[in-house]
This record gives sequence, structure tokens and C-alpha cells, in this order.
Amino acid sequence: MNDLGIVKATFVREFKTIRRSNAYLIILIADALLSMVSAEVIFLNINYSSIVFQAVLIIFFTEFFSFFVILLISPSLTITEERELGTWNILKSHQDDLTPVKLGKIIFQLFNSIIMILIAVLSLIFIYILNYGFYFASSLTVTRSVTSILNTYYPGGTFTLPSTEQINSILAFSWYTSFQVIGVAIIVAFLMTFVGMCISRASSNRTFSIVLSVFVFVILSALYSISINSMGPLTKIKLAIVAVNPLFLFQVVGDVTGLKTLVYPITNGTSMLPVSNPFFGSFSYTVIFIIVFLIFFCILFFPEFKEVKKWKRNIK
Amino acid sequence: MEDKTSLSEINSDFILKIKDVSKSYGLLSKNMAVDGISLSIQAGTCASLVGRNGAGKTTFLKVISDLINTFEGKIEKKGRIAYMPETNGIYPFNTSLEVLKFFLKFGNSPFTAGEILEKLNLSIDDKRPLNLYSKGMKRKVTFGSMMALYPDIFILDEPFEGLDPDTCRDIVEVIKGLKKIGRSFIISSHDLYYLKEVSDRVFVIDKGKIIRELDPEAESVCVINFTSEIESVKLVLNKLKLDYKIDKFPLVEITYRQNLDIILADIIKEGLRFNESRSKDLFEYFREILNE
Repeated sequence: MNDLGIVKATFVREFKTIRRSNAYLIILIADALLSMVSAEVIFLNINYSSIVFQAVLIIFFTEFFSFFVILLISPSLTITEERELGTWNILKSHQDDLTPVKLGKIIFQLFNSIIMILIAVLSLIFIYILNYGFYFASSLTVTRSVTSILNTYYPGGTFTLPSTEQINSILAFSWYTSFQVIGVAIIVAFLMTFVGMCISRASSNRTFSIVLSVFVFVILSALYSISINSMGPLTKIKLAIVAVNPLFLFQVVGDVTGLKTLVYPITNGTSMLPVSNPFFGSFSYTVIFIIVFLIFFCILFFPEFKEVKKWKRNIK
Repeated sequence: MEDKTSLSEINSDFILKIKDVSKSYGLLSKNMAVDGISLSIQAGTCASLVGRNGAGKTTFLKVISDLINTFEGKIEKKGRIAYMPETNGIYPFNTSLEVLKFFLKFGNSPFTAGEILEKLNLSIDDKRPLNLYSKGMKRKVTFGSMMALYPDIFILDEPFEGLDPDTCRDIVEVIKGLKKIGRSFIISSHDLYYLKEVSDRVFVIDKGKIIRELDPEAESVCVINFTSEIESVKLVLNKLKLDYKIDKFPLVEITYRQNLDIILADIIKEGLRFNESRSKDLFEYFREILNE
């Protein structure tokens, strides 16, 4: 028995399944259409003649994920579907350790989430071109827009306006920043895939998987929304709530690239965030969140894996 | 009926030893699905479970197969087990060849995917996904996946359900062949006719308990109401070497061990005519036990 062979065979079998499944084609079309609608909604809410691509990307992904629960549902069905079909019981009765099968499934689902993200990006580019043509916004236009909006919302205030050079350096079109945002989107998709796989392992049937996915998504979004909008004092609990939501990564990337401080005033002047906000500067929380999450994922998802077994025995 | 052999007395021939296994459901009122079952299976043999719906057969099979982890009692096994569920939904978007090749990765089967398909009378060139197969063909592929895993103990839940006689015959022949090469079977089925052919032991299970063991080799009795002359009846029955008794002609009692359908077909072929036949076979014994 070759574990690597089982991982590969599982991946290939899953791939052949989606290639022949009409439901998967519908999911891809839904992905593209939802992305296009989401992109169009963003452009309708931005009253500028042009906007730099990476800025659109970060707004798009933050908005896009708020209804794209499909990234959670799709992996959540992978094991429960087999449970209902009966094949999971056949394998489970025969194998002491199903780690290679689960690993094959995870790799396939990660591959699938990358496809979903890339389709979403291509759909966004399509709508971007329809709105602005083959012209990526020049920093000059954006500078004027940003300066104007900041003056409108904060006339005579103490808000420090960024210099034109700063804006130019931040908002000039950059492939690097664009790929950085896409990379974060893929990491978020991966995290959602892992959560989906855990739901799949815990569910006994497909209906329960879907209901649990929606429930988890709603809870995560609600907690995130409540935490981020409440203006009370910053507590560690609040930070923890924010950090468990994958969307937090977009706030981090906004912080890294500097896009956040300029993009959010453009789209939503009334809830503009201060330039130096410790709330979004907490990279350490994100890192801790990802590490803790991955440890829990390994324990939950690979309980038969030798190292996990050994570790659990030591704990006992 | 409980097997009285203690767990410590495991003979090297025993491949599976089950001692006082119980499984209950429900938190407040305990519903015993399996209630203190003990039995042992030798290598190369087949034990079958028969019983009413909801008698606890499937739960018991799942407990043996490690699909239900919380139970009382002891299970000792030598070798691998594979459980064939009663559902038929094996990878609907893959072809039979793809499915078998996938399952072959997990075991050390001496068969190739092509050989398994051939044994089950399925075509190796069939490129259709399994969701386009008939129920019987899907069942065959599910059984084929068990052959690909090639466990020491095959646990089969309703393997003959909804299958035509030819398909059942194919599966019976494969089971017989696998028994000859030392594979063991535990089968749950309502199809007593095929169980009689493959089983070495048949257990009647009711309310989670084994209540009786039937002898699959037991003689069956059939009463035939002949319309032909008594002399010609005697002549044909003697020619077919059948064990018969005539008390009140035209009623003739025939004792048999083989397939009744074949016997009746032979009698018709010899030119005898009859109105009806009533048989007392494994099925009748089973009904009698349940009605007791």
C-alpha cells in the first residue's frame, strides 16, 4: 500500500468527478456571475472616473467574501457526500488510517479554491475593463479624487492629509500589490477550505453540512461585524474575535500596502478609520490565529495520523 | 444461540471472535439494538444473519466493521475487514474501471480491475459513469470494490437486494470461489435461497439477540400434487434418484437438499404434470422460529 499513491489517486478521482459533474459547472458559472455582480456594485458605489486596480481588488475581495459562502460549502460536502453514498464506510472499515485519502481531498479542495479565486479575479477584470476600458488609473487622477473627498468629509479638521508623493507611491498601479492582494485572497480561501473540511468531518449528511456551513459563516461574519463597528475600548477579547475571521487578513494586507487608509475613505467616508489604528496593526494576532487554527485542524481532521495519535496519547 | 467458547480459547482457525457485544441507542430510555451477541468465524467460512427489519443486523455488522465505536463487549479479529453497505451510491461520476482501480490502491488483491469485471460479467470497455448503471450493475461494482480491497473478512449488508437471479448467481459463485481461497464472510440478507448456498452457519437474529442457529444443510421437504398416473410418477422420481414418500396419492412428499426449481424443472422435462407444490425449506423454518 502506497500512501502517496492513495493521495494521488484520490486527487485524480475527485478531479474526474468535477469534470463530469453538471453541478460543478453551475458552481463555476455562479462564481463568475456573483463576482461580476459584486464588481459592478463596487463600481456603482465609487463616483470617480477611474480607480486603481489593486484598490478595487481589495474592496472586491472584502465584499465578495461576505456572500461567497460557497467556498465554505463546497469542501464541507466532500466527506459527507461519500458518507451518504456509502463509500466512506467501505474505506473506513478497511483502513486504520484514512490520512492519505483526506490529504488527497484537501489538496484537491485547495486547488479548487484557487480556481474559484482566479475566476473571480478574471470576472472582476472583465467588469473593470467594461467600466474603465484598457486603462489602469493614473495616480494623478486618484490623488485629486482622494484629496477632494478628504476635504469634503473633514473640512478644516485635524486629519493629516497625505502628500501627493505618498499617494502616488501607494496608489500608482502595481502588479506587486495586486498579486499581494490575490495571494491573501487565496490564503483566506484556504482557511475557509480547512473550516469546510472540518464541518465535513463533523457532519453526517449533506443537508447538515450546508446548514452548519451557513451557520458558521453567519456567526463569524456577525462577530466580526459587531467587533469592528463597536467603538468601545479595544479589548483582547474583541481582538480575538476579529482575528478568528479570515476577512481580517484583508485588513492586514490593507495595512501592509497602505491601501486601507486611502481606499476606505474613498468608498465609505463616514466610517473612515484613523491612519494609525492599533486595531488593524495586529499582525501577531493574525499569525497566532493561523497557527492555532492549523493545529486544531490537524487534530480534528487527522486523528488517525501517527504523530497526532502519539501527541494525544502524551496529553492523556 | 450463544457461542460458549471463551475468548481466551481462541483457536488459530478463528479469524473473528465476538464476545457479548451490545450496542444501545438513546440517552434516557436505552433501546438495545444489539444485545449480548457472541459468535466466532473460522477462516474460509461464511456466517449469515437473518431476521426481521430492525432486528439489529446492520448495527451489528457496523460494530464489527469499526464503524460504530461505542459498544460493550469484545471483538478480536485477525486480519482486515471490509464492509459493503446496503446503499448503492458508489462514486456516481466514475466508470467501473476507474472505481476498481481506485480501490485496488488500498489492498493487496490478487485480482486486476479487468479480472474483477470479468468475474462479475461487467464490460471493461464500458465508459459510462456509474450513475447511468442499473441498480444491479451498481451492486456488482460495489461488490467488485470489495474484491479490490480483498479483506480477510467480507462483511456484506444485503448483497442480493433488488438483484436479478443472474446477478445473484454471479455473486454467489464469486463468494464460493473466495471462500475456497480462505476468505471469510459475514452476510446479512433476507434472501434465504442464496444464503443457503453460500453459508456454513445461519443465525436468526431478533431484537438484537441471536435466538437460533439454522442448519443451511438441513433437508427441505416439498409436497407436490401430481395430475399424472402414480406409476409414471414413481418411474420418473426413481429415475431422478429423489427421496420421496407417497401416503395419499396424488400428494407426494419429496425430501431434497438442492435447488427446488431445478428439481421441478427436471420433473416437468420428464413429462409429469402437477397442480401445485408446497415446500418447507429454510424460509419456512425461519418463519416458524420468528412466530414462536
